[in-house]
Amino acid sequence: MDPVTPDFIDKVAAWSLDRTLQGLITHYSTVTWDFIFDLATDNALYLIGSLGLFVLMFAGQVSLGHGVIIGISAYTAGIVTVNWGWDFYLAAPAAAIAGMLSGVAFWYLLGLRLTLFYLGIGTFALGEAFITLGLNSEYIGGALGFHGIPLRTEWWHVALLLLFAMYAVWRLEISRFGLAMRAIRDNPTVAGAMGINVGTTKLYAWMIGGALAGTSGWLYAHRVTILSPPEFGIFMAITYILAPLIGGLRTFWGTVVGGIFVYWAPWITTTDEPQWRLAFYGVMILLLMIFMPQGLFPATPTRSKGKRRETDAQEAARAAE
Amino acid sequence: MIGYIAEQLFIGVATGAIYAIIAVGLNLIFGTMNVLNMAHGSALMIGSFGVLLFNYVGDRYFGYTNFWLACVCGLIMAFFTGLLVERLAVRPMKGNWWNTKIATIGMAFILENLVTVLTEGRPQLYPRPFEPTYYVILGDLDNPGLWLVEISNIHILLIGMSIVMVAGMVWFLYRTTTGKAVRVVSQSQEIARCIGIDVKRSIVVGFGVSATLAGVAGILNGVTFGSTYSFIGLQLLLKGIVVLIVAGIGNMRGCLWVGIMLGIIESMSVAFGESTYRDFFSYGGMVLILIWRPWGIFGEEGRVTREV
Repeated sequence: MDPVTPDFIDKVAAWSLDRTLQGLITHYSTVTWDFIFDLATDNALYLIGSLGLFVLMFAGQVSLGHGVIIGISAYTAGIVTVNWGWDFYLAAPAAAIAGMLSGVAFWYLLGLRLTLFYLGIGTFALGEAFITLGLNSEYIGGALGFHGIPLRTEWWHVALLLLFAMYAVWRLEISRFGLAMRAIRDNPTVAGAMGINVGTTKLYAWMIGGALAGTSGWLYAHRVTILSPPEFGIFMAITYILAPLIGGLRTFWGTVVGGIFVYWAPWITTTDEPQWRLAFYGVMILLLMIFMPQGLFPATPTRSKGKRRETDAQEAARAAE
Repeated sequence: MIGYIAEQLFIGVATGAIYAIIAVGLNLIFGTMNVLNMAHGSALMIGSFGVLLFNYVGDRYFGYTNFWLACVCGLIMAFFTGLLVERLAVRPMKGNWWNTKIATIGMAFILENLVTVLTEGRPQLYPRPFEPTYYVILGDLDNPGLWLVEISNIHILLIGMSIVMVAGMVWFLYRTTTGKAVRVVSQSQEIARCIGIDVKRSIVVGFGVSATLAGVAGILNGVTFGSTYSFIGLQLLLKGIVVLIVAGIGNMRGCLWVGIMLGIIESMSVAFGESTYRDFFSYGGMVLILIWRPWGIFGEEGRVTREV
């Protein structure tokens, strides 16, 4: 039979350094301040959602369905403004409550029963099931997407909400409740023995995380103006979970720094071909994980006297033994 | 109608066989390292593109192409992808579960996007080892009534390969010395070290074997659908994870049954006009099984409580 000729080999042969560099220069010369400002606003919007995820992970929960929580609340915001004619500001509590309720649903179905890896996979599967339902419901536009949401989000909405979220998470983190969450993350059994109600604390973590994700979904809907279910899938969840993981889980500042890294690192290396950007992104993630295993913003130095320090998980494992 | 359902059943078993092979590879890594290898899909993709590459090289420089030779070369490429992932994304993490997962995601980003750049994201035509022919098992071809049942030789190849692969995996893990060492490492690395097993080597072997299995799945997928593209790995990896979780970690035979079951559920939901709900059935069913038995249908209960 005839052999199949893949054209990627010709492509490799035709690659030249000059052209790639030229693409890079063209890319940088077209960047404007408006573009950077837009990107910063997007980044702040993204940070609100990842702070919600940070609260979850602070209580030892893992969510790969976080994109879906944001999606549900974004759709809620869209439905109440477009179909029901509510005001833009009135949509905020609706979206927050929708996010909170979906957080409670995730907690009841999965957060109560599963831990770590299984929780991550379970939330991912539940999210995919939700997305398929969204694709099949006529009311929200199905696979064609949800159109006609008014463009109402201004940069100061995002900035104010981000400041509020950072303040709230900061207060939460140093409060007694925050200590309870940290104890559950480190060892749920011991935390239970110390008199912390593990299930309720997890529920509150899911509610707070869901509400933060919900408000970010509200602004997202009114910024992007077109929603479609598949965009809230596993890619979005991975993007969101990279922020707390790259930043480190000791304090919420790690999430903020990690989120800024996640958003800006790919754009630094963009050429005319967007796929290069993602490949470079992968290289950065890999290097970061090798050389800074505690994240970009560790509370303790990564290396002391040339010896690599133990990471959180190893410490916890040693403590458990 | 009966013939249609039977055909869909064969297609379901054949695609399920691909899921089963992927899940067996994931299972091996999860068993040995307690690591979910998100770069498994990349090894799959590399194996599948390796066949294209060697077919092309053979045609251009030697004027001779052989599908099976190209397969062997593709599998070798997949094998080395597995070693690369182990060396760059798993070994430097020193057993930190989260970091390993993120690093393997980074690895998948690199490999899949590089291939996307090279192929411009376009699907590539895939060579076939033989022309697909249909064999009539039941009924009369000249007079197709209710009872005509046909099966394609490609589907026979798929089902046969997956049974051979799972049987080979079971043989490797339970009968050979290397495989037994890999299983000991999966139980406890400390004890493995105490009884003189080379832990590092066992892990490398585990990754290599698993990536080769992924390559097999990639080639079979290309042959079935006649084309391949650079993000094929992610799509199949997610299905493989579903099979792995539902079957239970550490159980190879379970992966075969659950994979085939998932394939049948998917093809049946397509056959009965619910094709848009296909993923809902597979993922929703997985959530239900996670709630009911988090350790999987065929798994051992102790695995979950061991805090992955």
